[in-house]
Amino acid sequence: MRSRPSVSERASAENTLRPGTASTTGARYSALARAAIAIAALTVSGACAPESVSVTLHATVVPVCRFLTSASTSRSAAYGSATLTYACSNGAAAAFTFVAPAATNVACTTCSSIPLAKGTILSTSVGRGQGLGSGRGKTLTVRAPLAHAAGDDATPAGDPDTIIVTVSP
Amino acid sequence: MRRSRLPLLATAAALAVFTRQAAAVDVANSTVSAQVLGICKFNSGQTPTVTIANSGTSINPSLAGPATGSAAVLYRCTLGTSATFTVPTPATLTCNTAGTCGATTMAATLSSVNTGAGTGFGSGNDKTLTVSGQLTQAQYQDMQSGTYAGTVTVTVTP
Repeated sequence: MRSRPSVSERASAENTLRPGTASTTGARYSALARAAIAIAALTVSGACAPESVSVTLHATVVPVCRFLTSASTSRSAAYGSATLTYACSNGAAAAFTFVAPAATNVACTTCSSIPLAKGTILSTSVGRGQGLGSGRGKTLTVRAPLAHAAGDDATPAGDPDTIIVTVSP
Repeated sequence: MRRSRLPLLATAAALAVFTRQAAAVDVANSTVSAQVLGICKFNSGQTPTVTIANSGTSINPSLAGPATGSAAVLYRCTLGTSATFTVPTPATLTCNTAGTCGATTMAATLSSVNTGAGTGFGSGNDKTLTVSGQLTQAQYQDMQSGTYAGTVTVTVTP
């Protein structure tokens, strides 16, 4: 059986609950002040933390090849030759195409209308491109026959003297 | 004639009660204060991407001049608060195209400009931090083809 609390004990308990008394008011303000300080400290510390955002960087280097210089040409009795310098992106392989002018007057009936002056690659630097910076150039030599093979149905106007060479990518 | 003292005693008792009640009223003056902090925040939900290029959205290594790109990052600050940004530079971009460029890297130079002090956190008060990246011709002209990517963390204070 629980004993009944004394008068002083009851008074003490009531004081802790009753508003307005000097002792409880002071204690309450003190508690509120502590809480406010704690909240302020949390807020300030949160505000001072650096805010950040992630920025993604992106770059795509495409494979390309380019001629670096104009062709230097030479001509012999049987062939016309041209040497070109080109460069490709690091690791890119060059692909060349050779086109005679549309107005070519050379027709090769025995080779399905392929112009006789179609270029022939004599030599290129071996391997893939090493970049387009200084000293990375490679050479391409093109040779075109000036004389027609026996049996070709060439016009008497002669051979074209221009070959368009393209490189890709 | 002798007057009764009863009314007098009653009045005195009533005054005593009122006096006791009046004494129980506690008047406290409390000071209310508020401090508005000067802070800056990036807007949430942003995924800024700087695409560095010299031809469309790509780098053509045969072209002259730098490859550049930029991205806008929105932020807000307390009215009158100036933001201080930290943009790390250089930023490393690593090739992530298997079989073409392996693990080669490029170091992009980053810079930034912003539209100034805050005007508050309410709607319509966005400010813009423009983060720019640059690769010089010397940096990209001999690089293997492929896609390069990297990430930097930009911070703002206060």
